[in-house]
Amino acid sequence: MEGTRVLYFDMERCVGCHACETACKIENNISIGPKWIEVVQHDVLKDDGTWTMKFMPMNCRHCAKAPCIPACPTGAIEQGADRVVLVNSRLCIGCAECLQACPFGAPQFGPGGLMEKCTLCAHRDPEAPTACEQFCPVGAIRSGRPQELSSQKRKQCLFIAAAGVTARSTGEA
Amino acid sequence: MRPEKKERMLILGAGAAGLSAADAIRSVNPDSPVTIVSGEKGLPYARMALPYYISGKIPVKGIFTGMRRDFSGRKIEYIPGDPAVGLDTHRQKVLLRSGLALEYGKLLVATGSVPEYPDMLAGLDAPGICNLWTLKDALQIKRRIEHGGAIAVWGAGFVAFMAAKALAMHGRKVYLICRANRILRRVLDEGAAGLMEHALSEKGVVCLKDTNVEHIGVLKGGKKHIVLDGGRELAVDVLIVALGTRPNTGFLHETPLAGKKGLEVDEYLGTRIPGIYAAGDLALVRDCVTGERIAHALWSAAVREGRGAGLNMAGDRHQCDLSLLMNVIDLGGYGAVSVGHPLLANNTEVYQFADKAGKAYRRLVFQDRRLIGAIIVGRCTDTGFFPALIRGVPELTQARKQKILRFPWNIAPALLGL
Ligand SMILES: Cc1cc2nc3c(=O)[nH]c(=O)nc-3n(C[C@H](O)[C@H](O)[C@H](O)COP(=O)(O)OP(=O)(O)OC[C@H]3O[C@@H](n4cnc5c(N)ncnc54)[C@H](O)[C@@H]3O)c2cc1C
Repeated sequence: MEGTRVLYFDMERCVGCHACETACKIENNISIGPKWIEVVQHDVLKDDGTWTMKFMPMNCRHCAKAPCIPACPTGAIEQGADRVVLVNSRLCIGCAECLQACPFGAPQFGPGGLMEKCTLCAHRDPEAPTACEQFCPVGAIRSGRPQELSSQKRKQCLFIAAAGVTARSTGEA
Repeated sequence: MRPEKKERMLILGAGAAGLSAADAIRSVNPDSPVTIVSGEKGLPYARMALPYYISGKIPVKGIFTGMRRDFSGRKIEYIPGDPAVGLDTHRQKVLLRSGLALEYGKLLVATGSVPEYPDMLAGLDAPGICNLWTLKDALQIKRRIEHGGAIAVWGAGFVAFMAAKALAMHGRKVYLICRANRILRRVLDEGAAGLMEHALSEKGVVCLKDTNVEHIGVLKGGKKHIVLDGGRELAVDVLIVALGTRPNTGFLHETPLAGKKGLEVDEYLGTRIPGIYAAGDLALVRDCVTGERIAHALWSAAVREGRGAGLNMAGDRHQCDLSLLMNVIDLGGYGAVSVGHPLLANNTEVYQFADKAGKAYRRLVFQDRRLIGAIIVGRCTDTGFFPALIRGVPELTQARKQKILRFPWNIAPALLGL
């Protein structure tokens, strides 16, 4: 889709350094508490009986059919042509209906009690990388357009923001 | 023209469930005739946004934005201000107050609930005594407290809390009259309720606990005079009655559908009469933890059920019961969440955690290896992971349960890989 912007995470590369969390907080001036991106450690048992650590970033996936949008009673959540899901703080009432609908626990609530979350650094130039991408030391995060990635890469990335997610969140194919 | 009318999908109610159903029908069926009837005049609005209009958080248009629909463009007939007063299930007709009779092929009953109004107030038609349920109520309250004044809220459940919060945020003096020994007693335990009561008091709300109303009168000049048991008296400008709700099924009393607690539905939201569905506050839907059929009376449940009912009316078989109880209350950044059944007492293991500052609190409740409920106060950033855990994971491994108990302030890691 022309214009669509998404985030890609390469789980094989992520080392769990949390640099993206810090970069995001500084870039977006986020108060103590809420995290627009959170890297969560996941211990996986390997075939040989030993354990390995995997990391998964939990943040807004900017889903294609974002379930938070119909859940919002005041119409405060909108999706642009670039598929980026944004919240309008003028209309947000902090009721957390979006949180109940989101399969990723992405909506966060700041000191004012209103919903806030990843904007894919909407304030930056659309061609510029997001802060999390810019500061990731191992290149595990990439923002961009789906067609910019090779099919090989697409398979490798566990979470392709937007695509893939729709099926799980709405319970339909 | 008769057969065509029999194709009509008729939706009673233009609230969360009704509109969500209409959207679902249109998503799969662009042409079938759809009619929505609302008991209230004007465009559909979001009930739960009313307190925020009163407090000034959102402009009045904010209560309509989320409910705005292009009815004519999507060929949906919208009939406002004409409540259903009767249903003839044999002839498949709904009678409206104006005398209009609408035939239907499929019918969705989504008329929500109505607030209780105690007998004590019968005959006392005093301006300034009202519920906080409709736009009309909200407009009245907002107008009366525009230039100051004191307010009493009778009740201490969710809507009462929202009313007290809205008015306190608006800088008004509020008394919350609570019959029980704590506020929000159905969803919060004593620890959590205590923290929220304290937070309310910091906003200027006086919680009068273990207190009931003995008499209400109107003073000269219009102030409401409230006599409480124990002898205390209040004189306020507005009295908001928030003593709970009941399903809005009065117009069904001559049909086999009517039940005191609500409308029984199967997992496809069909009632016992084929072709008639129910969704939202009045539908008795299975609880995802207890399996019991209850009316949850939640916005999220209404949206979900409305969607499911709409799809099924359009010919789908969309399973849509198993609703999750979840209440989120917030006082401008400090809040509490109650999810699932944290107060259930049979065969449960209860774990409680508090931080040193005494501001954050957690109660996690397990039945064997299943997390069945939680109360979260203060530190709520991982709240979003609880619904999936409680709704979707019937049994945790012992290791995962231990992980949750070892790191109770962030359960996200325990959820990954499930
Ligand atoms: C002040 C307030 C705050 C709330 N806050 C929250 C919250 O934070 N979280 C939450 O989950 N829930 C909250 N709720 C509850 C939530 O609003 C309801 O659960 C939800 O609106 C239910 O949706 P519904 O579609 O079943 O009914 P409603 O939204 O009540 O809609 C019912 C519709 O039916 C129409 N109607 C009524 N009678 C008839 C009739 N005879 N014929 C035709 N139409 C009729 C009405 O006009 C209305 O359009 C709140 C409620 C209030 C009042």
